Amino acid sequence: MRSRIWLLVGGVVVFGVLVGFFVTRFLNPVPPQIAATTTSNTLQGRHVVDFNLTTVAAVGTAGQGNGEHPNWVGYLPTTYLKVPAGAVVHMTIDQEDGQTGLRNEYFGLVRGTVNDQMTVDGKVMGALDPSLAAHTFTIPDLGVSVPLEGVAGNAPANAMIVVEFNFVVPDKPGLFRWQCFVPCAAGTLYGNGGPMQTLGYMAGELQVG
Amino acid sequence: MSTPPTLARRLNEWGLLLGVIGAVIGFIIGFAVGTHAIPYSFDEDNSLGSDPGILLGYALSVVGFLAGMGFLNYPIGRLLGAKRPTEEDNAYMHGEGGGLTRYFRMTTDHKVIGLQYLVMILAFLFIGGLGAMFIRTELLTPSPTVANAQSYLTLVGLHSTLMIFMASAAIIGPFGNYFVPIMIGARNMAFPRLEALTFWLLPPAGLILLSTVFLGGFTTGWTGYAPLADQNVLGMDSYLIAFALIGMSIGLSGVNMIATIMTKRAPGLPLSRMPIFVWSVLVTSFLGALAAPALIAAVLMEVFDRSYQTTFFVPAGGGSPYLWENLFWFFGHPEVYIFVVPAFGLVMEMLPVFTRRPLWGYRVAVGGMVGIGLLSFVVWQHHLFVSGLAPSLRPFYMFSTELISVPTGIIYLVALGTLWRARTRFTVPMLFIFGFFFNFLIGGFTGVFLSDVPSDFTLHASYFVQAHFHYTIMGGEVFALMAAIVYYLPKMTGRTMDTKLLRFQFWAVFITFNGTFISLISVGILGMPRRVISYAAYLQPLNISATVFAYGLGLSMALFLGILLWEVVIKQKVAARNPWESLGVEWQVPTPVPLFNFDQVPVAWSLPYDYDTGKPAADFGPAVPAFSGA
Amino acid sequence: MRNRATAIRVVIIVWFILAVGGDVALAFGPIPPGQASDLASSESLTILLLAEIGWPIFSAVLAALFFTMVVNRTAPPTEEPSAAALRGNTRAQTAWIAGTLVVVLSLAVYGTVALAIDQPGAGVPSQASALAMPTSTSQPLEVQVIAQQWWFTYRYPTYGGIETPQLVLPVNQKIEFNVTSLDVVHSFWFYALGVKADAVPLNDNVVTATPTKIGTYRIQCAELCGLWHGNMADNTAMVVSPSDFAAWIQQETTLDAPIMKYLLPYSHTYEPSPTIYGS
Ligand SMILES: [Cu+2]
Ligand SMILES: [Cu+2]
Ligand SMILES: [Cu+2]
Repeated sequence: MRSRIWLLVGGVVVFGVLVGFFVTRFLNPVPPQIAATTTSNTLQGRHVVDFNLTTVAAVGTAGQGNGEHPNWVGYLPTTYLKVPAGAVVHMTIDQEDGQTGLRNEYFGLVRGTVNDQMTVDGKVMGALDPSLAAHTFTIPDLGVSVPLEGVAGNAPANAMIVVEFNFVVPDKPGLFRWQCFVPCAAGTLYGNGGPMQTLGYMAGELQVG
Repeated sequence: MSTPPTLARRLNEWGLLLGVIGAVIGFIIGFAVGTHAIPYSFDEDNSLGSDPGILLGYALSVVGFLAGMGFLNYPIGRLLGAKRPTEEDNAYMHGEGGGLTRYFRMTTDHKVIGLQYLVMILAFLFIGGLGAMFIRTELLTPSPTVANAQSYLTLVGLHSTLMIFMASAAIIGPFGNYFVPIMIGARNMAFPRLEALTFWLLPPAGLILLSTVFLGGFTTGWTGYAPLADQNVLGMDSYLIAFALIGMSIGLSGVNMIATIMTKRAPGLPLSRMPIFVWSVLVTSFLGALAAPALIAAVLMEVFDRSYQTTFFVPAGGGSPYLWENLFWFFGHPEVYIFVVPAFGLVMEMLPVFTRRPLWGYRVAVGGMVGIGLLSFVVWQHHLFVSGLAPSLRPFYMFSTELISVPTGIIYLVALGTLWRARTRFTVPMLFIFGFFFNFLIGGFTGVFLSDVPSDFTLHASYFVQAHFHYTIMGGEVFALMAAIVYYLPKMTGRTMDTKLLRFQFWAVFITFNGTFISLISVGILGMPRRVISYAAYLQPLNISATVFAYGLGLSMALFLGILLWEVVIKQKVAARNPWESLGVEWQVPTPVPLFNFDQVPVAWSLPYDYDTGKPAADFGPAVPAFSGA
Repeated sequence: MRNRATAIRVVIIVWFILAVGGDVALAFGPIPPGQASDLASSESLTILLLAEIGWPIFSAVLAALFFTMVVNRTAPPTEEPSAAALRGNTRAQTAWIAGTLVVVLSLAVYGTVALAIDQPGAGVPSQASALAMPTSTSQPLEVQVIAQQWWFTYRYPTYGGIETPQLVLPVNQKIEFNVTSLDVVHSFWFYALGVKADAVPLNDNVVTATPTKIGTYRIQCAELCGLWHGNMADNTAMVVSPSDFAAWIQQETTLDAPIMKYLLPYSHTYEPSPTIYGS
């Protein structure tokens, strides 16, 4: 009987290790989060913090998941952002990706930013021609949505469009998802598979507080 | 055996290892061919491979596994003109003298296969249950904590799909395979190799499904709705191949059972005297054989959608998401009766034993199950009441769905009739039977709200639905499964797990189960949709209550497994020959059951429920000591 | 319980109290999804009715199970029924089947009638309403729900086809929801209004409801649609007075001005462009 018990215990341990390994695949991986850089500026009586993101057509080995998908589009350095509560986020996005066009033209409108405006290469705009969009930066629960103009097909290599905008985050801490509304995942159905549905590429979380 | 074993037998002994080698070779060939030979541009930037590579790799790995196990030996041998196997070969394939090792190779003995099924089902149940614990932990808070939006959906998909796999075979697999031939006086199944195949499709299916976590997971849940499935990453391919394998297993098992029950009955056993459990298996087998092909067809279409960019389910390409929804639920609704009809049969089989009464209304019970079987093919669109498909058909599907409560009600009538004025023996299995009727009653009544179109507008796709089908599958089928395990283990293993602790275990599982799912019925009514990781804050208290009860439920299910392992594997507590004093023929044959069940097949058969006269179901002649009855 | 007849009587009385008590409690309790629209009221009435009919039957079966399983055990042995009675009783079986059939048939008839009243000509957009401003509150105002991965947007064809990310509805005005999707299958669930309709690409799913209570409500997606399905919810859907609604429309029209020239003309479904497999 003793040997049977040891056999059972051994079996349980092996099984437990396997299960434990499996479970780790589901745990929320603590992602490399980037925090906003604080500035001394204020806007509307709130502190302004800075973010600088870059969108690229292929993340290469810099992407999430140890370079599992080097050819996927994505935001760099990461899509996990952290800002202090109640701040004004001054977001600068270096847009290096080409024009794809929006599935729903409505997201060509700038909404939810300060004055409902964005600055594209220094030019103030309230909307973008939907067919020129490469990505959007959209936080649905905060009502923030900004279309990002794509680099024209005939532009020289390393061309880049700089989009800037400010938005206010709530005074209460919380976790807000954000995503892109341009079907930019080439080769997937409706352009909405792969990077559009994988955290760290075209989907991310904004942690407030 | 005095002669040295032949090469074929030696290979068979090492079948499992050869199977694994075959699977690896198959996967490599399939992956290479799929990746390089099929021109392909879809999602090609995935460093893990392409859809055709993964799909073909998995498909061929299953073929390789089965070939290694030895499933191709007989057909190919016969094609090449090999001799028919001798009696001795057959006995060997049946596991003669195999000891414990016969459980790890392909055998044609339905008793070995029944026990293999039992272990496999319990493993699926355990892993799926762990998934449920993880899900409930996540839902303690209204926003993501332990999982994230992505891993949570894969978790939900794995839990549900594994449990569906488990439930499709939970009763038919172990008990149908083990007892149907004995109950009908057959020495073997009609298609014993096919029967072995239905079991050996399960381990690859389970492993392939679990492998999805290495391929990015899938976000569609067990329903696999297209075109979301077309959009998913490689992890979806695991789901598709695994579900196709399960579909084949269900369908082939149905064919084998139908042929066995129709052609292998002992002389003197007409259909009208078959034990009620055999009837339930017969009905279920028709459901499986007729419904599973729809699933396999749908899965194949999805495979083509994903690998060749056909657009069966993509509207912009001329296809329709409704095509998947229709095919899937045409399978999916009969599937839920594949779960529960065998449970009805088992429960009605056990009730007379504990009430010491004949089964009251045997004929209406059979009619009820046949009625459920027939109706279950014409109700599937109740899953599509709010889908926008053919709204003018809704009254019909509402009517046909509600009609099912008539044959289901008959089962309750039969149970009440059998219990009426009986001095019931409250053994552990009887407790679980009571639990079955209690839970399934709630499952049935919640179903009425879902069958009615106006109330379904509110309840559809909410946690109400989730709680409803957990009441029928877990509260119904799994409770019947636990009753059957306690009841039949003495026959299947010669050992018993019937202890005092098991009574406590029943009450624990019964109370925590109801606590969990009454909480979930409530969150559903209050507006919580299924499969969400984030929910409205006002739903948190009820979710916490569900989680706390669910932990208790998990612990008490683990206790059941623990008692099972301890009593049967460790202590090896020897059981009485006929501990429940049943009249059924399965308790009249010796334990362990002889290799081919009957040395001499009885010819005089009656229904095994004559507890008022104490007459056993089959007359074994004077050699067997007369049974004492009640 | 010495006497079997007494036991039966006690069980019946207990059941009766439970059944009546439960039904009375149900009649006074709040029944989801509430009374915020005509459709919701009808649904909660249906749910109430099903519960009122179901509860006594449910408790009766439970009482019978309890009685047969538990009470018999302790009762002294009684005279054994005949062998035939032990094996069935045609009258009891016929009565049971007939009884359940009657209940089921009446439920089906009730459901069909309720459906016909709630959603006449369900699933098909009423052509008359398409772009014309409703002349009375009983004429439907068309609102389009566009589901996309992973946000709902709304179009108001009668107000120049403006599109908004927030749903605002005038109170006591019949609304015709035209639900469609731009990608995969979603489901538009406005719990308080009792509206649930799958959003299927290239398909127009129509539901009508008249909101009757001013307030702020939650809408959410009820069909698994991918990564952010769980977050495809919004707590800011509103039912407002007609004047507030007019003001809101005015405000949204101004906000939408820069994008209006780019929006596609209003249509019940929208073909994807340029290709279904991304760029
Ligand atoms: Cu993008
Ligand atoms: Cu169904
Ligand atoms: Cu959705």
